[in-house]
Amino acid sequence: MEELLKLDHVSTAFRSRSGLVKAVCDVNFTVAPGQIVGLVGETGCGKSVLGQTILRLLPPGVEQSGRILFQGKDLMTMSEEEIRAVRGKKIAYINQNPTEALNPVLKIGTQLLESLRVCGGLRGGEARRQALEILASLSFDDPEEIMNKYPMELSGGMKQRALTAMAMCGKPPFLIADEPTKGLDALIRGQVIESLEKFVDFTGCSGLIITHDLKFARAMCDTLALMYAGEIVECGPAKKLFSMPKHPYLSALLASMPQNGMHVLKGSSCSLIDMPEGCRFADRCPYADGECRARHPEMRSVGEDRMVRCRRYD
Amino acid sequence: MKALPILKKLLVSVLTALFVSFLTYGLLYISPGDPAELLLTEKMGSMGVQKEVVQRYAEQLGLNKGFLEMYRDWFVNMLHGDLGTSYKTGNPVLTDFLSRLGCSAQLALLSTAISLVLGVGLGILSARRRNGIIDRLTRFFSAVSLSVPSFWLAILFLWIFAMKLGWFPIADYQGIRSLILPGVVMGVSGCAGLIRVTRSGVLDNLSEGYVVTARARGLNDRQVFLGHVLKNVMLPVVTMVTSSLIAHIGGSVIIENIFSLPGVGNFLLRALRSKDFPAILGFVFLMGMIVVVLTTVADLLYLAIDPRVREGMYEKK
Amino acid sequence: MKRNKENRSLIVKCGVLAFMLLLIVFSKLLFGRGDVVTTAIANTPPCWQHPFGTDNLGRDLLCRSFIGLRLSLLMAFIMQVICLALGVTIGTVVGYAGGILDKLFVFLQNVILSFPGTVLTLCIMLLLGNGIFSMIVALCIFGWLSYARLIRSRVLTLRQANFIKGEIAIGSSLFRIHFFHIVPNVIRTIIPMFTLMIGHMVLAIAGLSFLGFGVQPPNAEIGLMIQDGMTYIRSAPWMFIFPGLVLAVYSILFNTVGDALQDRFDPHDSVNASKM
Repeated sequence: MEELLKLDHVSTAFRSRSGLVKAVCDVNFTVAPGQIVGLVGETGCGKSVLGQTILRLLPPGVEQSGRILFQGKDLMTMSEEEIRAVRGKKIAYINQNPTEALNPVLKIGTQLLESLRVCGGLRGGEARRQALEILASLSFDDPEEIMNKYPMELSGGMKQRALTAMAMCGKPPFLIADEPTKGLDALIRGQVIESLEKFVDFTGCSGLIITHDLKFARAMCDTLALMYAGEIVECGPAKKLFSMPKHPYLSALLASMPQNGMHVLKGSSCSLIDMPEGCRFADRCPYADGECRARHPEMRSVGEDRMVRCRRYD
Repeated sequence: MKALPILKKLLVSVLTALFVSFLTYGLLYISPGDPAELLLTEKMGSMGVQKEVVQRYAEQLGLNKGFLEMYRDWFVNMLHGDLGTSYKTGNPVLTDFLSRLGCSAQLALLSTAISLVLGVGLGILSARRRNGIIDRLTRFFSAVSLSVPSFWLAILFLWIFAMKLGWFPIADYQGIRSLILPGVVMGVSGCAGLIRVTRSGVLDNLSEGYVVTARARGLNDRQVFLGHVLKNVMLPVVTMVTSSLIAHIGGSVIIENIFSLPGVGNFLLRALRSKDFPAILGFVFLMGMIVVVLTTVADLLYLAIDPRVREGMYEKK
Repeated sequence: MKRNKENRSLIVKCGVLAFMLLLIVFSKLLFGRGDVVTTAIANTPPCWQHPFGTDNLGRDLLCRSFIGLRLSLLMAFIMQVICLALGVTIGTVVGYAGGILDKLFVFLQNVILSFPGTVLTLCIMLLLGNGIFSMIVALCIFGWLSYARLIRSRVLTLRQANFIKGEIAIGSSLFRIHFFHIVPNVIRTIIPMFTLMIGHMVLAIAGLSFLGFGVQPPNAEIGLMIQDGMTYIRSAPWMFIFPGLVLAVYSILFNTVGDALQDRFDPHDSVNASKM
């Protein structure tokens, strides 16, 4: 299978006052054309950092290593100018928290037209027509009016859609959406799913969707990768992961969903600064033994299309 | 833009102006020393001013009525553009004020412009090269400019550039040539706040989510900065510029004195020293009015720039 | 690692300030002998015996600068204590009471801020007569406002903060909330502000004295000394240069320490790398 995006031993770390934070550790996965991959995990597991790592959006001073191949070219070693040509045009990025992700002092129209100019090379009347078309396709009732509004005049769901509209401007073949449903209620979540589906229809793209929302991930994604404390612990087709979880963390997460009885997973994720030597999940794992705590487990294949990072599947 | 917040702002401004005039009048009313007596003493020499003469003179000046009555008279006259006559110069106060306003206004504008260029320029430079050599130098410069007494700096500059080097006139007023030195002094000592606000504004905004969004769309650093960050940073700068204009109007008292400029502040100082009440009252009131007008303009500017203020969702600091 | 470095530089700064303050406190003992009129050595330029030179009456300028600064600092300290007490009380009351009291406060604040600073102070000095006492009063009329504004806005934001809402929800008394949560929070901003304001006040005192409204001769005071120096600017420029330098050095110290304290206590102002 030919891949569109391939992450090869990608790690990201940054310095903080209390030490080196290893937010992403040795992540490998691939996305095939037309495929939607979901990156799931709890808050603080490094999934958003991974999303920004791919487009090199992190502030200077952050240490990144590994290879990120997109259409065969390594994004990691590109010059600043080359990566700018990828951003927005080849890979679109929808930032988390739409309230902060839109510039508060510029009108939606201004920001949208700017995107069209930078990513699509459109100007003037043509850009305006395109902008209205995109807004209409995302089921805004009155696109003209939205263009003249400031972000704070829109609701959370509308801001999310406006952000999606901006990402659509370059008709990119790949989309990264960071927590598109964070802080939105169930009704609006439906709208977001709809708008992302329209995005995929509109651009025909594949994508990486970063979320902590399992229900949303199941609705949107073909393949899932589960992250815990900076590393991927399980990946495979979404349906199989939901019906037959392998990693104890995934089982625990599924058990904590409301329809499965809301069994809360106790404890909290280990610090990203002082990592335990063995399995990072050991402290919260019901099956953990001495061996688990002593040696860090590797990813291993289970079945033809699934991988899991747990000693129990040796 | 909605009309209501603007009307509200204007109403508050008018109220403030009224209160300013009342307060000034009250302050001067209760201050010790009988102006009539003081004046007569000055006119006739130090000795032997008789009580009845003082009384008659006071009546002549309208100084023997009750406070509210006097305030009302003054206020009504003020509305007609009559702020009384200076005891000292014998001119109408308004005429005295206007004849000196030009010099002070030029000085305030010049020094604010210098502050603005220095402050915003250095602030942006130091934020973009954070912790670099320019940043360190700028931070040191702003600490120094905040700490060095401006009147001392003024004398130092006067001594070096006017006396030793002879580049600028010392005592005789030669228009803009006389204003450069005081303008630079006030500009330098006023830019510290602007440097800080600009620097921290740029730094704060660079870590905002919208910057990530902008970069993710392929904008280069310059586009992100000019198109997105700058407008957000300008908001506090507008406030700072107004307050620096206001500070320069007040600060000009001491600087105008040192450079012996024919400005409002210098005149006020002389009036204060000789207890020339109508002049003090008129000058302080008019300066207060200028401040009220400037603040109102700044508030309106704010409304125009920031949609959040317009909707009343966001109170400026 | 970074934190240690910051702490060390803060300690160094505070140490330097403490040392310089000790110099001031003991200035009468250390330099008292130089503050006497000796016309024989009037207008001596800086030399080994008189590093800052002497003034028109032969008094040693180094001695007088320190003695003069002692008076200014003492006044500034007294003023700041008064302003702090007034400001904190009014700010807290207004912040909690809200409503009409708060509106009144905002209005009053606008009125006071509508006078260019020096002008209002000068008017009040005129009202009270020249001298040290009236200067303290005049400067305090402005000074308390900065604290009151700060406290008010802190109280307002903290009242909205979730942890305070939580306290209210579990039925804590207003008294408990104030002293256990709001006061410690506010102190972090007040300590740096106090330090910064002392620097400001010393400058303001010198300015007023320079204009002849504050400290009166024959007391030694930096502003007065600079004023004297202006008279002899051609023949004895050291008379204005050195007192001003001493004042500037102290003012820089107060500002630097104040800033460092602010960075230390108000971490939200300094952006750090972990914010993503």
